[in-house]
Amino acid sequence: MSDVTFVDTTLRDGNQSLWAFNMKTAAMLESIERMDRAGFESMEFFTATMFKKYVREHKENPWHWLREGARRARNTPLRLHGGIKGGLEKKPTSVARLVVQHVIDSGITLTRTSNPWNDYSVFKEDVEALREVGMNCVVNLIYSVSPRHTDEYYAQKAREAAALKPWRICFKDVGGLLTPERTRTLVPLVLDNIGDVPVEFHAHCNNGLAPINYLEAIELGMTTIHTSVPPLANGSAQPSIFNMLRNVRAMGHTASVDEEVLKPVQEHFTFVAKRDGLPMGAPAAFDQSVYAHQVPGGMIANFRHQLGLVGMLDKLPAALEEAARVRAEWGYPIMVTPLSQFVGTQAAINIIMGERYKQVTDQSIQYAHGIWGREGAELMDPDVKDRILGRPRAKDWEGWQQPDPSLPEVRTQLGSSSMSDEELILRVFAGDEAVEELQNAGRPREYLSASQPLVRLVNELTKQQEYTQVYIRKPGFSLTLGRSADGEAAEDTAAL
Amino acid sequence: MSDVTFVDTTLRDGNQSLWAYNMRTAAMLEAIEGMDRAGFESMEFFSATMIKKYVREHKENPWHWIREGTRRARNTGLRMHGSIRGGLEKKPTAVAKLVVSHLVENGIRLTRNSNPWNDYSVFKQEVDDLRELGMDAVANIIYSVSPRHTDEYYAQKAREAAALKPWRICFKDVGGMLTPERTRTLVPIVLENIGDTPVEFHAHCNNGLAPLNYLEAIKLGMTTIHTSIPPLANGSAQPSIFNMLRNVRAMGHTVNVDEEALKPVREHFTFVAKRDGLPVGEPRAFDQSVYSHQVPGGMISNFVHQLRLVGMEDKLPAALEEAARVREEWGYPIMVTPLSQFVGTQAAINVIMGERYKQVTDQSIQYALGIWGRQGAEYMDPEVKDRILARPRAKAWENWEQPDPSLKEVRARLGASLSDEELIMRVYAGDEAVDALQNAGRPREYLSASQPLVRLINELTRQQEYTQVYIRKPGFSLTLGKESPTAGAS
Repeated sequence: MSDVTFVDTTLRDGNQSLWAFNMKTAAMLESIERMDRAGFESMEFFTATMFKKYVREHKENPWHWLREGARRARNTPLRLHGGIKGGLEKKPTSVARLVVQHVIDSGITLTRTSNPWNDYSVFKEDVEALREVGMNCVVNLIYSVSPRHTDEYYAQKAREAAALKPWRICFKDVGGLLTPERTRTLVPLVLDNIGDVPVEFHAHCNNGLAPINYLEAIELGMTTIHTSVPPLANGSAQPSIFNMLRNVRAMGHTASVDEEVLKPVQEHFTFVAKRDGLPMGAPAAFDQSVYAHQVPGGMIANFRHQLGLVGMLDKLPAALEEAARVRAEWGYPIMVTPLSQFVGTQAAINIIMGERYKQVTDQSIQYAHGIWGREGAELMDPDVKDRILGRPRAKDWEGWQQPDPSLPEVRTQLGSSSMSDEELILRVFAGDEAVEELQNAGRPREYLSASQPLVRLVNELTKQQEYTQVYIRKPGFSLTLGRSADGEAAEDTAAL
Repeated sequence: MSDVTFVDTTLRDGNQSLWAYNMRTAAMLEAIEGMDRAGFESMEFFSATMIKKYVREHKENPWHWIREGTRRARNTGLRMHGSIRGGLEKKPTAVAKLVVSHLVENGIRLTRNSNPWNDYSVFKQEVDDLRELGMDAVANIIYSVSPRHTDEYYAQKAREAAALKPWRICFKDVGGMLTPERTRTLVPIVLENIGDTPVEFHAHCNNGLAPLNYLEAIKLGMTTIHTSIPPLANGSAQPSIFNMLRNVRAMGHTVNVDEEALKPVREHFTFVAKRDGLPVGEPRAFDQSVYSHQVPGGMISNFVHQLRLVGMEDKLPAALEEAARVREEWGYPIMVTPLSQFVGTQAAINVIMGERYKQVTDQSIQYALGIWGRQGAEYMDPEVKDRILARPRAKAWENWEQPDPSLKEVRARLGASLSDEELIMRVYAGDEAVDALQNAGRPREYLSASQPLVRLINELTRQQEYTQVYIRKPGFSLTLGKESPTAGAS
């Protein structure tokens, strides 16, 4: 029997996978002190992707979250998510390094990073660069399903990951594709090949099997698992902490997370979900069909939309089959962002044009050139590669390199040498216009508490677009809500 | 690839597991024609348990459902669920046979039934009697988890079930406890031991794994599966037909069920759920804890209630542990109704009294005497059995036999001129409820989901908290008022 430890993903992966980062800063701040007292080994807290979303859409300053959030979480180590150049959203290395340094200044000294090819030769540089600025690294080993992703592949990749001597390795099921059976064959293989590097397990629930996969993995000795607090658990996010605590205890293991502390957190986020119209994560039933094409659900919806625009909605099954074929020809990339988008878009174009690779995207060309990973170019079917690169446009991308300006160059570009680091980072990630709007915006919105039902009722009622007036009356109480759109509201109230 | 066929459970098991039979006759009648056109191999349609519920609570005549429902389902074979004496709710055999005869007259010629001990010696009489009345039987083999429910146990039970030459065998995961791994070991054992008897697979989704278990079973050659139409799928019911169609097609199988025909049915039941405040079945996350004590969820909430009454709420974990211990001492009965209740109640009493078996229920005594299955008496730990039976009350139950009056005797008691249908209702639902039914009006007609305004008004008038609702749009205004002694009309 083991002691099982938990990494909480609520504020980062739950927020991203289920709410597309639509959890406002105030909602996070209100919950983090309690979460901090629950006994997690660590908590996912921030990723650079949040800069753009929070500045542009929420008009909130992410540095406020970093400072205030970190200040309130005194017991539990917090985590950054992502590396310096490991990610595929290419920002200047100098700026990415600056982000890491400032995150460290908030007391956060651990991050988890991926390379979509599990390419540890690329990873090495990232791990070392992170270590140099004082950031420890959890290195992901991503699970995928294809003829290429064999036991031998994972044994080899596990050894390569361990050779980097990272703080820890994370076995990651990004698509929620693992089954209990595959967990039983793969987890021992990973454990046998990583030597004494510690390991954790991060899984998504897309297929409903992550909770049982975790239990299988724990039996096999992988005893640190990633969970989330409902309603930010299940669905396409991590298993629920409540479910896993009950399960691991039922198996006779010990766990020192206190669910009583987390129940008000669950209530809080349930309230936020209802208030802001955000989805409640729910367990999903097993879906065999994703194994055939491995196109993520969000992308299928996008397929439907694209095909609908050209009146070819009946071609959806053909487009999904084509995605499977393109993926095979491209050497079975792991279906994660952005590679899954590249595969899917090219497949949709092939179907819409009625001829394969007649038109190709710039990203298809870049992929064939190895710009999105050297393995893309190496593993691609040579005939397909010739078809893609045998056109004038391909020459434009040959030998192309992402410009990587230094910090002084970035400062010059932005036209201010006196700008603070924090503002510079915001401008690089979110753009000038959004940062200026942020600077002109007021205080971040305060959150109502769930214990104010009347205020909530009024807010909810006034959100209804269809009615111009709502009148509620109880003995000793009456309430009229009017919309001043057509100027008739006052008259009606009088008529009552 | 083999063709996969589907038995629909929406109107019976979905209705029972998720809605406690709160689906009204009109809601069923409105759906059945669409379902009948979908291409199911057969549909679960009726169980005698419905007689009491529909007469007593809904004031609806189940014979109306049987006649009208069968008339509307012309393409798909309909099924009864249950049997003459296999069930544990003991009604006179003569009356139970009469129910079967009347169902056969309405064109229903297939039933699926269980014995909670998988006791096929008891079953044999049942299958023979049903056959005589013109009813074919699907004999269940119930899956359970215990040291006694081994591979050898299931091989033996599969052979015994096949020896009855039933119309078909059904491998049944009543508690939703199967895992893909156990499915892979057990399905081949069942298939190898049933000879040429056809087989189907009926599973509940309690642990979220049934959809995957079905796929494993199909790979191994068990290709007839039980599904339900959402929102009466998932939860503690069967997997969703939509999910399974997608899944089996993704595996390369061909299927003849048309999901387009079923989408309006799903909409209809979703509307009924909202209208009547009935739960929407949802997939569940895996729950390891049910394997330790195997006490069903509904019973756990009952435990909490009982313990709270005596101020011992904190003893819940102890009560669940005790349930596991009692089940073991009683020879690992399969945790189905009513055996699970007997185990659970005795466990709660043991914990509340602070001494094991100091007090026992009449059902514990009956169990020890073999009244609820001869295996109960055989498998029970001898010392526990002695403790239970060494009290005066036990003598009262010894050699007790359920009275089993003939039809003539039942008639003599209830009224010689009663029609068969009325007699059956009086036996199952009681005189008072049948009298009330006869005085009730027509069954309530259902609104259709395509009438949003009518629905809005109905919903609004149900709100207890407001005496008045006033809604106005340009060119439209609506005021709803509730008569109340404290609030004047306005």
